[in-house]
Amino acid sequence: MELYKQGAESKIYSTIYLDRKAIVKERFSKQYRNKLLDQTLRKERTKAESKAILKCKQGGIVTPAIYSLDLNDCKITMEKINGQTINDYLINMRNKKDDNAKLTSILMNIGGIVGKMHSIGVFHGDLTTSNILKMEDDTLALIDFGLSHFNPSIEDKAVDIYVLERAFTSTHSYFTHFFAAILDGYKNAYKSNVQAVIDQYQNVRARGRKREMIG
Amino acid sequence: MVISIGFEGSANKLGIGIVKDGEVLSNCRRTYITPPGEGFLPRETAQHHQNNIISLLEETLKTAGIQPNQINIVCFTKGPGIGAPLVSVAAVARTVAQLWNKPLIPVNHCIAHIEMGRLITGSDNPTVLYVSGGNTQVIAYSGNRYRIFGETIDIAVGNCLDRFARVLKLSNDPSPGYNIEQLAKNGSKYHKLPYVVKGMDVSFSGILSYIEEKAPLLLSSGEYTPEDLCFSLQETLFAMLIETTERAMSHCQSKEVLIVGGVGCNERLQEMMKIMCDERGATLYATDERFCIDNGVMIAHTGALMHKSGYKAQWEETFCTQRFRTDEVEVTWR
Ligand SMILES: Nc1ncnc2c1ncn2[C@@H]1O[C@H](COP(=O)(O)OP(=O)(O)OP(=O)(O)O)[C@@H](O)[C@H]1O
Ligand SMILES: [Mg+2]
Repeated sequence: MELYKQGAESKIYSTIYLDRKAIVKERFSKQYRNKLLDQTLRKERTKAESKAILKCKQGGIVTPAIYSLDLNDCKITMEKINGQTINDYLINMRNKKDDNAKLTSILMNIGGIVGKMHSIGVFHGDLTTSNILKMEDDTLALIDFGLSHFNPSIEDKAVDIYVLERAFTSTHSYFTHFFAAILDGYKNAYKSNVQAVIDQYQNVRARGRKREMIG
Repeated sequence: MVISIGFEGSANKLGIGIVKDGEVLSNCRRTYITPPGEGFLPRETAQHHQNNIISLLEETLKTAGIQPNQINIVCFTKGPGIGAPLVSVAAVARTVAQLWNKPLIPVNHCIAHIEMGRLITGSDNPTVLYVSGGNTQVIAYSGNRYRIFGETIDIAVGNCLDRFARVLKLSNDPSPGYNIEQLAKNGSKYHKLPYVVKGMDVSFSGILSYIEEKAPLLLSSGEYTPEDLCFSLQETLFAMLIETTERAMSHCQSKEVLIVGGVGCNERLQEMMKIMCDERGATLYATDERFCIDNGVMIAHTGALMHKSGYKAQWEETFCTQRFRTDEVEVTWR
């Protein structure tokens, strides 16, 4: 198998599964950490990821189809999504500042897919722009659910939005003012009491600002 | 040519250093050490700094072989830090700046750690892990700011280690963290502790209360030794730090890591980071205790960078602030 990408916790290999383009995501053993800890984390996360991918798919969110699961080696074989990460997309967009309407609509859709995910009771846990893929026809897919869990609290939902905001402002500072579009999309998609989530998100942000920092 | 003197005293270390265009001429430090089981309090720490600062200033000038009239700028830590010690040190910096008639430059402590790390290691654009008694942040540079990618949502990693050292009544000399590190070297039995990573953020307070509560029984039953618990705590905390650093690197496609801050001189942390870097073809940059631990040179060096980029402080700006976030500062020198 050919190495396709190296993420933070996994190696992604390209492969073919029953004539379909697929990837194998292997949470390989990290030599830096204690063996016991390493095994627990890799297993838990592989499990969490496959469960959340399924639940999202059932809820109408585009996620890669899971072809097979190997909990012993912490490997998931899944559909290869044909597209680019939002991270790469935004980096490319930086030099084409003319297409603001298009950009705004994609950001609204990002907010939309996150709102939908929260509505069906999934917390992502690592919602960065690297973990959202955009296909040729602008359909968005969510990936990388290793830190996810079900039945998120208001706080969890707020944290997802906050993580996304920080990934956004720290890597794409030139688009910081566009983050509002993501929030708008979220508000449209998240049906029940969205204000509570937004309020909590403001609290989580303020917490960061106010934290005591001692040299 | 710019000769810069820097004053640092935001926590229990008092440091003064002199730097000439990136060349360290002197780097002197005195640490306020409390008895085993006790942390340092603001008033006593400020008193320590006040008692030592004049003789430390003399020592710093003498070591560098520099007369006050050769100095071009006076720099001091504006924050973040503990109010009373910060103000004590700033007052002296202000006084000498007026006495010697030199520009006074207020410096952000966290940025100073980063700039000193970059200077000493020669790393260009690293992902930074900043770990100390008061801070835990994963930082990446983008759009003229050091952006906080991930951070602790409660206490700092150094604080977590220090407080556990107090539970074990370890000596605070030279630092509680150092003594935990030494014990951990002889530990081998891993006790599973909570592991709390949320996206790029980490949380340590739950781990601390868990181990504080369990430690007495685990030790008295003879099931675990203090060495084992130090080992387990370090392995868990550091794994969380390496993991979030790696996430940030992966997201930013970064190939360099720089560790700064007092916990950064922990050899086990450096070793773990090195393994992670090797696994992904990245380079690790780290420094030793002279520059990792709070010091005056880093303030002097960063102030000099600001000065050379044309920065001039209004006298009213030269106050201290306990809260001063890394991403508030516009970086004009990179
Ligand atoms: N199903 C997929 N189809 C296409 N590309 C994928 C797929 N899954 C992952 N990738 C690519 O591989 C990269 C890493 O995958 P993923 O985020 O799942 O791994 P990770 O190790 O958990 O990453 P992270 O660095 O975010 O922790 C993604 O950013 C994406 O570019
Ligand atoms: Mg990912």
